[in-house]
Amino acid sequence: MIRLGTQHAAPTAPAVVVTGAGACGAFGAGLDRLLHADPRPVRLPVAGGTLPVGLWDGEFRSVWPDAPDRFGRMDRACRMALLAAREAVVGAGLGTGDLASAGVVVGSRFGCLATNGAWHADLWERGARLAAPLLFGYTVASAPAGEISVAYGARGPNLTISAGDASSAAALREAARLIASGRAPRVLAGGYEAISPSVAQELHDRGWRGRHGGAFPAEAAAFVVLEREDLALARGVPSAPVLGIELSFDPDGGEPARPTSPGANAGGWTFGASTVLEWGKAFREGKAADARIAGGPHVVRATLGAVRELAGASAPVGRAAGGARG
Amino acid sequence: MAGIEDLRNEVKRMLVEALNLEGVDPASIGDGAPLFGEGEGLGLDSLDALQLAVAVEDRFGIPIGDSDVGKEAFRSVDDLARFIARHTPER
Repeated sequence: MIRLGTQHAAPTAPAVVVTGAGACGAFGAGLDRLLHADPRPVRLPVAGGTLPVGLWDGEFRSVWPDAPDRFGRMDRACRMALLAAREAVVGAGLGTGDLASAGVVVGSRFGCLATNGAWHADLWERGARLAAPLLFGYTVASAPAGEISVAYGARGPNLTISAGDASSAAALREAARLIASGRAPRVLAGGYEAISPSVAQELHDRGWRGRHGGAFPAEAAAFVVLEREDLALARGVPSAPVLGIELSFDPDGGEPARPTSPGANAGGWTFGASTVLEWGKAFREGKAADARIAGGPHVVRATLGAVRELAGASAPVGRAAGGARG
Repeated sequence: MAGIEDLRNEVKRMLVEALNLEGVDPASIGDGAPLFGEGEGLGLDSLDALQLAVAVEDRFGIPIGDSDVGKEAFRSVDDLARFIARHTPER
């Protein structure tokens, strides 16, 4: 269990702890893969060569062997988000009944862009009458938050935040604020990015990499379970060292400082995408807390630290035991 | 015209493909099992119904423009196969 330091919280605000984490993306499915596997980019043909893009391979059975049949109808964004959230819930040792009052806060920069593109292509190909209704249902950026809520019966606040590269950092901040202000005892919080080949191509054509310090978006989702510390302790979650992390929010009503891009690595703040890849890289290189993701608001670092601490502890994310490095 | 048994099998394949029922073997779907309803049969919902109506029109050329017609036709694989057979003059 990792406590998020709430530097700007009121003294009486309950502490917020991270009790579970999960991820999937270009590195594969699960925290084990995040921590130990190198992303295997798909090389898309573009003018003048190929473009390496980190795309999720769609494999989920290793993390979720008994995934429900209905998992199949979701778009990639929802599948990735639910897969990561599910791992976080399992890792936290929680069941559906524990999440009835839980909130869901999700951040995404690109949201449903890939799904919108797919539906639009279907619309042109088959006409308005026969364009896929199932796909249309997922042409909203809040669909992943909705699917997570449905899957766990989470009836607390349900928010989706898109704030550019700060989207997922903002989601984590908002999630912690919901708990600290008493609006939800637990929150499933995280981010996702679904990047289709056509979206990658367009970003490439528009010069994304050159404008973002060489970073290029990749597919990934990462979620954590945030929880009121007293609830976590009451259900027997072992306590863990407090990380020296600030969380930029003010439950008394002041507008929190918006996480700002460090400029040279704007993509690094996209918690659900390239930052997740950076986490894995940083872990492998033994410099988890700095590398390219240091220097800004600390939510991403908080989560990174939480994942590392959870991975190094015997519980609650047992699957990643032994994964702590650096 | 295809026999009703052939139609049932085609409907089952259509259900799995059109609704992305991953891990579901078409042959495992019961002829008379309810398609809709929580905890029943395939457990499909209203969004699936829209997709199914599009799939029927796309594959068999039979539009389903009335929800009452859809409710009757979508009760089970057998009902849907018989509905398609009734609205297909020759195949």
